[in-house]
Amino acid sequence: MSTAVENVVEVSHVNNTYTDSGLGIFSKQTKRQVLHDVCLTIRKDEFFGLVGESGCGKSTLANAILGLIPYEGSIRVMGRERSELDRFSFSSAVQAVFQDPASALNPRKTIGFTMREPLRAHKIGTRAEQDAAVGSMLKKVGLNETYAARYPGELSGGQKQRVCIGASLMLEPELIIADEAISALDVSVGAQILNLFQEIDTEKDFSMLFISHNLDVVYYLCDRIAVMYCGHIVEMGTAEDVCQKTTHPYTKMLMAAVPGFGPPTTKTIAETAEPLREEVPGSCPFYARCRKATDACRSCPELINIAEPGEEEHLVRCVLAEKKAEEQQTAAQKQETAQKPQEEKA
Amino acid sequence: MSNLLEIKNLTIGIHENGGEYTAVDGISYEVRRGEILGVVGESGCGKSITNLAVMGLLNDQLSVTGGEIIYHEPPAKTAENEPPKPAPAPVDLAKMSAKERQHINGKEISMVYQEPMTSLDPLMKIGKQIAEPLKLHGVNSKPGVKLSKEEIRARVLKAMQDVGIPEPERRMELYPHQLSGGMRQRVVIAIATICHPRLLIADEPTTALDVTIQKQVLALLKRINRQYRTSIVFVSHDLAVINQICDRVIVMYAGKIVETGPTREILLHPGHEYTKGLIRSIPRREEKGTPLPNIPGRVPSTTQYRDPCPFAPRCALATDLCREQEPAGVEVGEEHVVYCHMIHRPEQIPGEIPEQKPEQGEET
Repeated sequence: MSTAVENVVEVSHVNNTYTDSGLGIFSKQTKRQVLHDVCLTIRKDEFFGLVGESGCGKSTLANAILGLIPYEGSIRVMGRERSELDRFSFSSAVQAVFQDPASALNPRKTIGFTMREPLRAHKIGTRAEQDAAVGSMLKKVGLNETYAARYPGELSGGQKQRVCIGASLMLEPELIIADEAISALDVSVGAQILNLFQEIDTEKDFSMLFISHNLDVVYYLCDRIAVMYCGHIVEMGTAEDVCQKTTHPYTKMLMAAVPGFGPPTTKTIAETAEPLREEVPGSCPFYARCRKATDACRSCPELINIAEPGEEEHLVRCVLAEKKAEEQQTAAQKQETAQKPQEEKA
Repeated sequence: MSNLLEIKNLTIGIHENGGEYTAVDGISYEVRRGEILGVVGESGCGKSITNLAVMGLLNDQLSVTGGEIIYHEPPAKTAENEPPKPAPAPVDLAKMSAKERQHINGKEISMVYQEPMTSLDPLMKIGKQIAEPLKLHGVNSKPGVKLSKEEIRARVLKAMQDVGIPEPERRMELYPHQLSGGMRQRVVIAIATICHPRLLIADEPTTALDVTIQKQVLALLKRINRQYRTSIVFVSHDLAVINQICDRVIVMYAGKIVETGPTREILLHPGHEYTKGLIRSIPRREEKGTPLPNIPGRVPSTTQYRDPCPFAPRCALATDLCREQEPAGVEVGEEHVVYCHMIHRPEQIPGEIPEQKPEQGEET
């Protein structure tokens, strides 16, 4: 494998459409677009967060990368087109951890069997070596070797999720896709799993696509964040940019929705979550729910980089960002024109 | 505020693997009229079992082995010129038969469960499902008079509007799978509140929902509480969610109450190590990059041995005293009680010193 690969995953212009056949047998078939021209890259050794409400297409994107659903566009994994990769070379590069650990594990197989399976499928090592690898992996995820002989039913939810994470790491993949991996767990157990991800990351570098609806958790864990709404990426940038220089009204709404420890405010966002106006085809995806929407929002804005020149890009899909970018441009132009005469004088 | 529900020394036994164990160990608390009480703890701490006992819905493995669940039914409303009726005698829900229960469940006390999809009938239109408790209890201003069809329809529409379901006329003809998760949970809340119960038990009603939908459901519960003075018992494992709506909190661990007090007081000055652990487990924006100081280990299962202080095996401050003697409640603030030996012994604590003021909390 070449070491020059900078991006583990490159998703460019990916669209996904499904046909809703309706309820009755004679209902009209309607096409619904789940992903709209999604472009993102996950760099080597980076934790990338994907945030949005259920139904926004987060999991669809993860499934597209995993090859579980068809898509249009290009997904490149480790520099090669997804369709060129066979199952074996793909599964040694990308592994997944899902939301519900109980349904991800076979209840009739021991933990050891489940964790050994990737090695067996890839014919790596002898049986004794495989067992030893399972033992050391169990230790790495905070369990001990005796767990190899147990069945999933004997384990708690957090322990099962540790097993799932261990199994996903057996082939030393480049990328782990964690789809709501801690949402079904108690906060205390979720915290243990978050710590586990960070511990493993310090031992062995890997990238992660971490999907969640909780922006605080994503901010806590990830280096870069993409916010998704109705299949569109509406804001993307470093975790600091997205959470501290939040620009898109939807990201702001997500931030406000995370329960915190401050005194509860009487102001609720319940009203904003309800559609405020009729949806307009081809409008900004957030148009129906946005408080700041104007007539300018009736056409879908492009993703615009609002970061200062030279900094990591901070993309926002909003009319407000367009204005901001324009202001920046004019400010930069003014500076230039102001500097020029000075230079001439000098 | 007077008490609506009083739980006295409630013990729930569990029959498992041929042995008898204790799932809930002699807990006492009260639910006051018109308040929102939070019950917090990890899974397996007995929060849900306690509330199922209040509803009389324990399965065959579980049974109330001791204690009382006293329900104080408020006096019936009277017309202006009539003398006020005396309040009915308090009843013990723990000793009630299933038949007697039917007059209470859904009418006086009702429950909202975690997963809205499994608590709705997939083959029944939601309008019909919301009307069901109303038909069963025949709640009407005149006793003994059956509700007419039109009246039921009007009440259902009103209930749907109350929980914020837009276009109720159209939506009452839909089936559960045609609704989003947040809408389904609203339907469940509408079913639970259509008879205007005095007590609503919400068992992790927002855990299966997105943060944005969660915020809406919390706002809705708070509005129901204010509008109809419905007492709410809100069960959750997340103290940040509890913080949003609850007036008081009970922290439960391994079948026992370890701390109780007003919400803000508990969040600002947690006394018990377990409460502190629960607060620290929630990732906060300002703590990015540092490991979360969570609680090591897990809740003991009901079949495992439990120390007199059940939290001792996971507690950084535990001493031999915690493994020998059950801690008594210590009042550290107004209505704020902590069940911990270490709470007023700051000098003996190895390592970390708690933030509690040492002069406070002498036994009274």
